[in-house]
Amino acid sequence: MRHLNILYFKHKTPEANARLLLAFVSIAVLLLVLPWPIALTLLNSVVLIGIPFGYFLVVLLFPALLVALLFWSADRQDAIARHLSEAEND
Amino acid sequence: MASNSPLKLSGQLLGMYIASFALTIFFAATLQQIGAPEHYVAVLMIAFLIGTWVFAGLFAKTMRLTVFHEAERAGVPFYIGQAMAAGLISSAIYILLAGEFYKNGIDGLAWFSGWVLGATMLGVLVAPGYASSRAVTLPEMFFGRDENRLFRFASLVIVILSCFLLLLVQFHATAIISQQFLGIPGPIGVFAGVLAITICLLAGGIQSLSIARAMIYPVIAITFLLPLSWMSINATGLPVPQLAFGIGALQPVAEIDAEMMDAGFALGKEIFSITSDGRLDGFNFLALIICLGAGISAMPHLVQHFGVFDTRAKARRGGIWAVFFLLLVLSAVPAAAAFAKLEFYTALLGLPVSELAVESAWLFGEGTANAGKLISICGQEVVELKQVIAACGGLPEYVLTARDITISSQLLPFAAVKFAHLPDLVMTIMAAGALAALWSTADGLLLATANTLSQDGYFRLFRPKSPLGVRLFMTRFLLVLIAIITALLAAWTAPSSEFLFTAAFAISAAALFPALISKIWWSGTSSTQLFFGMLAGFTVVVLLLFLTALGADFVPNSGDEFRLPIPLLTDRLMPINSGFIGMLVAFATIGILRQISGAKKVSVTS
Repeated sequence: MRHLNILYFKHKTPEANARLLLAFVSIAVLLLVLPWPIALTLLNSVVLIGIPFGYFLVVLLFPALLVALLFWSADRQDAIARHLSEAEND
Repeated sequence: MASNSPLKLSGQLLGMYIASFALTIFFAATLQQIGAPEHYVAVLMIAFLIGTWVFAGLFAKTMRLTVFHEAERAGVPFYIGQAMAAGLISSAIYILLAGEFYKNGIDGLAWFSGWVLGATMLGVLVAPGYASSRAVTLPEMFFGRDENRLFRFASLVIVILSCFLLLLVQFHATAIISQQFLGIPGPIGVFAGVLAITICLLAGGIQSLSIARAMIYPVIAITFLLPLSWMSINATGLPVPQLAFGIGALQPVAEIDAEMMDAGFALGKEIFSITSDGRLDGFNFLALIICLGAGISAMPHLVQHFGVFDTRAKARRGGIWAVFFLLLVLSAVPAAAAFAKLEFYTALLGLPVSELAVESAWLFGEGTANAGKLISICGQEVVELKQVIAACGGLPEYVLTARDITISSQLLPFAAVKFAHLPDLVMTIMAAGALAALWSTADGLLLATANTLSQDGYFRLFRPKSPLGVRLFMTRFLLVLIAIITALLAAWTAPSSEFLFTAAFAISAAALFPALISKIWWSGTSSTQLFFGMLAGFTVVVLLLFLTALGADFVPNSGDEFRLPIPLLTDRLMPINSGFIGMLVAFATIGILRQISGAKKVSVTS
């Protein structure tokens, strides 16, 4: 099994680490989805492969980052859940 | 046993199904080559779709209620993710999203982002909690075994209302697409869909539904992406429309725009300018993203599908795969709008109106080749050239500008295919893919409605001691009943799809989302607090919907709707954003009640 570093905050409990991870993911998701469509219209004067840059980010790059972030966090949430259940069995 | 569950065979099935789809396309192309009547191909595609749902039903049939409701909790995340994506795509990308990009530029991004946010919240915030609750329906999730009948009844009504409104939209869109692009009368298209879905659900409930949706996702993706890839290759040589639409469509459109301006021709109202400001102000823009996100992540047919997972981890992964598969298709929607604009520019702009019949004869074709309903010229639907000339001032030499031409934004992806002169077979295949998307949403809605009525209505409210066999029979009976009622309403009435869609998501966002999130993430929220929160959100959203979307005459878009300004934020509340206000009220109500009456003491592990 792959080893994942899940306890980013060593002085906190695994439960607190799990909550912090979820909080981080939630904020990151909101940052990737929420305010950018308006803010990035400012960047639309820059064009990348024919697509206005702000548009490129919102429709293509941010969704790709979002999916990567979600899979990354799912791995860590699963690892924390395993860690917690092993601790319970001990 | 779960190890024998048909859901475990989704992988093998998928390969065989895609092969059978390819064979069907090959057979359809052969029919067309040998000169078979056009509607043969349409009938073949409809038969293929019906066969998909019937096969899934028979393959995963069951006589056990637990399998019917939960599919033995044997869901495989990758395939259920595909199934969820098929349910998420729905009619929206065909009748709404592409048109928004086309008509309102940047506003399309709000719909896009709302969709993505909804799918993400569904996977991250809702799925694990719902799967671990072991609930079969949303009211059961909210109130568990709470005996209070009023709470259960109220949540049942809200769940059914939001499902039923969206179900009507799916079948109404089925009627339009069958009629316009497959040459099959609308009511027949609707009844074909209802028949296929009902057989599937009657046989195996959510187990069959999961298999049908997982199989149909590749068909939806291929039929949507294939024509766009074709146009993309024609324009740039690159088969990825998501990357090619800039150089392949946006830049040429901008060049033609500049030429038209230089030549002194006015631009049209419907300018697909990706950088245009759109019509939404900042408040409505952000509220739309949040409201749509909340509405999608609490829609009962999507949430209840996570009941097929046995662990939180699998449910989470299923949700994340759904986001991935949804984005594969959704990211191509702006390309559909851009290519539609380019093809429309190159086909019609600068053309003397008298030459329409020669240069664009396809506009006046018969049957499924008739593209006239997709556009109107000089305010006149294109049926006969004489009428069009008369509408354009009676001058045959009148040169068409962008201002004279209005494209039906509701069916924009089809317009793109038609304008690009792709073979009629491509249009038929795309229409079949659209029907697949509609039906794969409708089946979940139908099952969620029947399950809720049976489980929370019949079983919990009226016959708590009824045996499993009777409950299974009741679920099936209610399923048939709702299917017939919906089909009759969709086939012979003309509801406003826009209003129904708005109402369904606004109600879901205002009433169901706050209750769902509070139940999962705010431990100790009591049934009473959930009920009053839900009731407050529902009351506010219904009131605001009447004011902003219906007005005094209760008819959508009749012009007497109230503007409802919010000081310092917006001059006019967009109807769907009633859900946002309702959601805030519902959360505030739950929060205040927790402060007043305190949280319920519970031991929770997250």
